[in-house]
Amino acid sequence: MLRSIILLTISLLLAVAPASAQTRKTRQPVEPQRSRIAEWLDLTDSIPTFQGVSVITDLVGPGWYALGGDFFSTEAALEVNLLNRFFPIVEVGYGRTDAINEDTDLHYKTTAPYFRVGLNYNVQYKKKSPGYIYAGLRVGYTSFTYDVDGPPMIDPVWGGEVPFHFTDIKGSALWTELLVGVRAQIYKNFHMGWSFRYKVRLNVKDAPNASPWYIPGFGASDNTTFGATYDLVYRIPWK
Amino acid sequence: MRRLLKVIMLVWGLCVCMAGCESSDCLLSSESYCSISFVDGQGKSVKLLDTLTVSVNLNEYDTTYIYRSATDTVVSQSPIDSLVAKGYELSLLVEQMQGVLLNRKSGAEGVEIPLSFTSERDTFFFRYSARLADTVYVDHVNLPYFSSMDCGTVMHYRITSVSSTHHLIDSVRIVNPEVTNTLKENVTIYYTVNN
Repeated sequence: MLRSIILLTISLLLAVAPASAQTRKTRQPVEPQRSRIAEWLDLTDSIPTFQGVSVITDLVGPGWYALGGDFFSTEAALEVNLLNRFFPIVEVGYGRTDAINEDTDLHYKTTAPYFRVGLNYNVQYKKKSPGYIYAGLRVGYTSFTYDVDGPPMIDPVWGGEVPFHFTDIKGSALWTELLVGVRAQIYKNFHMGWSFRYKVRLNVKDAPNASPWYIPGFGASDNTTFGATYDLVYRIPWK
Repeated sequence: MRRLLKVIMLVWGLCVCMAGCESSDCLLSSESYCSISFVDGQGKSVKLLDTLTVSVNLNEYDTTYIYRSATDTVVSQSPIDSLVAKGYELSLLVEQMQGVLLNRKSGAEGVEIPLSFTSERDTFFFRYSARLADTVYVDHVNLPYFSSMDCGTVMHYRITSVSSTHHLIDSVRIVNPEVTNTLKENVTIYYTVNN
């Protein structure tokens, strides 16, 4: 039953071929369609659908900050193993920065949680080994406030100056990440691995006086950016 | 499996396309200029036949120190305390300084002028000749803007209204009220053109 629900959910989310098949033969019985979906996804193995749950934490965020980076982030994730092939994942984190640019004398400060949901796909699912290479997709979101202040702005033409000090500016961001990574067993249920991520902003809420410079969970607020995680993974014993 | 990877790539590619291709590098100009174009009654671009000088009254003042005694008058641009000690009477002449933004430009089809950081109404004197001039008034809201830590701050403006005298100008109109450091036409001046 669980397997059927998962198959139908995945087919609805990724329904390119199945959708066209359904429109051509709308009066087909349900069971043959499921078979075609299973065939299309190559789900012919007879292993149990649910293969376990893992909790994951990232070491790059705190490590980068300890080495002198402007941004601090820490995160934890919960990942479900389905068929040793699909890994739906929820990531929850916390990011902050309190940085001063020595050239422009600007100060930027923010602290906020962030969330990501997505799926990892084990590209070596047929090998049945505890270590594997995966590709994944994430959608991330955060809502945050930030403070910006700096030296007064001096009018070069008309003369005079205005202060530059803004607090509690509200912002939010939605982004997507494409990633590749590896996992390797290090001891019993403990695994380690890394992921390399390419991040793209989808929507960022700007304020009249500032655009966010650092977005928790995303990083420096370019339209695209790269990120990496070094994951410590614990597979919760199951069965 | 390959089909699934293709679908994932397709979905992600669509998301990337939705994000657009906007660049976030620092812009070359860190100052915002109000861009004004000159047109005739039909909206066609016109070149001014006379030279154009644009000047403003700055937010800075020039102080002249005038010291008078019964027999003598001393005028100075800086204070002279010794004259007061000698019994001279001090009076001050404070004049608002004028700045020239554009000096006798020939064949102007438009101008790019800076707005004030502190004032919400700027007055521009458009002088075409010794006897002919117009005055243009620009009302605006000032928006100090943080673009990034590396790029610094820049003043943006939102123009709320424009008006003018009508010696050579027929009318003025706001085209785009947002004045930023990416130059776009903000105001159109319609000139009365004699055939």
